[in-house]
Amino acid sequence: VNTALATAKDPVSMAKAFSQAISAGRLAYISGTAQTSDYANASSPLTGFLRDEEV
Amino acid sequence: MSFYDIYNRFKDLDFNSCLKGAADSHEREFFFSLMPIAEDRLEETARKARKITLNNFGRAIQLYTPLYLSNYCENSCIYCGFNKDNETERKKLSLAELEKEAAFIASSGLRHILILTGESRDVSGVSYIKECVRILKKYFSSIAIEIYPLTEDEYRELVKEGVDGLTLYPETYDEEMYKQVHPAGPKTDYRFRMDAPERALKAGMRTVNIGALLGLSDWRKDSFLTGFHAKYLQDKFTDAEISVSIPRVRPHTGNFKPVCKVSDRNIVQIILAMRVFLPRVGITLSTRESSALRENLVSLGVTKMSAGSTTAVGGHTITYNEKKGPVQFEISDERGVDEIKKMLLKRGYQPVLKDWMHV
Repeated sequence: VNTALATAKDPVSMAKAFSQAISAGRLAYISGTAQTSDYANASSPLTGFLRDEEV
Repeated sequence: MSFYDIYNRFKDLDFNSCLKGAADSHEREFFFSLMPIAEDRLEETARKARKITLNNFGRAIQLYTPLYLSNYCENSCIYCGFNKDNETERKKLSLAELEKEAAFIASSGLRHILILTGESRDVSGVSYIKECVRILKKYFSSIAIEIYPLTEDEYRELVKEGVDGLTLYPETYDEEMYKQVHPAGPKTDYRFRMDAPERALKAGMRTVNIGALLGLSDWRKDSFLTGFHAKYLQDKFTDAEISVSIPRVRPHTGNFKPVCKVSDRNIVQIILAMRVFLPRVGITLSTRESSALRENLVSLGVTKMSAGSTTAVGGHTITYNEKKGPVQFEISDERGVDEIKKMLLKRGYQPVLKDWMHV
C-alpha cells in the first residue's frame, strides 16, 4: 500500500480508495459471497425467475 | 411384467434417505436430483437440461389444445370439477356442436387436438368417440385422447379409426392415497388405470403422455415414479413417442386441498430431473400454469404446450346462458394460439402446429 500511495498523483485520494476497498471487502464478506467458480457464469439466466417466488 | 412390478420396488422410497433398489448410477442420479438437497443446484442442472433438450428437440415447441366432448362422469374423484357428486351442469357435444368446435379450433392453425371426456361409458362410450374422431379427422392431422382407460381391443379400434395419441394420468402412484382420492366409480381400479398406457401402446398408439397430478401425494415420489414409468414405456416400446406432464392441482368445484405444496421451484426441479434422466422424453406443459411461469419454463426442457385452452365442454364455441360453462378446473394461462406463437418466436423458439399426418 505504501508504494501505491506514494506513487499516486493524489495520495490522499488513493488512500481513501484503499480504505473504501477494505470496507467493501469486509461488508461483502459479512453479507455472504456466492459460490466461486473456475469460469465466468452469467448470474442465473435460466432459473433467476425463481428468486421472485414467494416462499 | 407390468410397471406395477417396478412400482413395488420403489413404493417405500424415502427422499430423506438413500435409494434402495436402483439398478445403476443413472437411476441413483435421478433420485438425487429430486431430493431437497438438489434444490441448491438448479441453475447448474438447468444448463445441462437445456443442452440436452436442444440436442434432442432443437427449438421446436409443439402446440395443441384440449377439446372437451362430455363431462358426464361416474367417478367421485375428490379433486375434480366433474365429480359425479358435484351439482354441475352436464353436457355432451352433439356431432354438429363438435364440428363447429373443431372448425373454430382448426381456424387457429392448430392441427393437434386432444379430446377429453369424463368417465361414462353409457354417455360417451367408445362408439361415440369413434364418431367424433371421424369428424375431427377432417380438421386435424393428429388426434389424441384423454378419456377413461380402455381395454387393448378398444384402443385398437380407436387407433384404426385414426387416434394416434393417448394422455392418461395415473393421478398418483401412491396406491393408498389413490384409494382415498378415488372413493367410488370405475376409476377405483388402480391397476387397470396404471396399465392403460401399456395396453394403448400394444394396440399401436403412436404417442403416450403420462403424469401424476401433483398435490395428491408426496410430489417427489410421484415424480420419481412418473419418470420410471416413462422409462419403462420407452424401453419396452422403442418406436413410440413418450412424454410426461407435470400438472398441479388447480382450483375446481369441490373442497379438496392439495396434501403438499408444490412450488414453482419444485416444478422446475421436476422438469430438469426428468430431462436429464430421460433425454428423449417429451415434456408437456398445460395452461394450468401461469403465463409468466410457462414462458420461463420454455427454455428448461418443455417440448409441448397447450394454447387457447378451455376445460368446459364445447368451451371454444358454446356459452352457457351467456356465461362460460362448468369447467373441470380453472386454467391459468388464457392466451390464445396467436399470442403463444408470438411469445415463442420472441424467445427464439419455433411454434409447431403440425408435427404429424396420416398418409
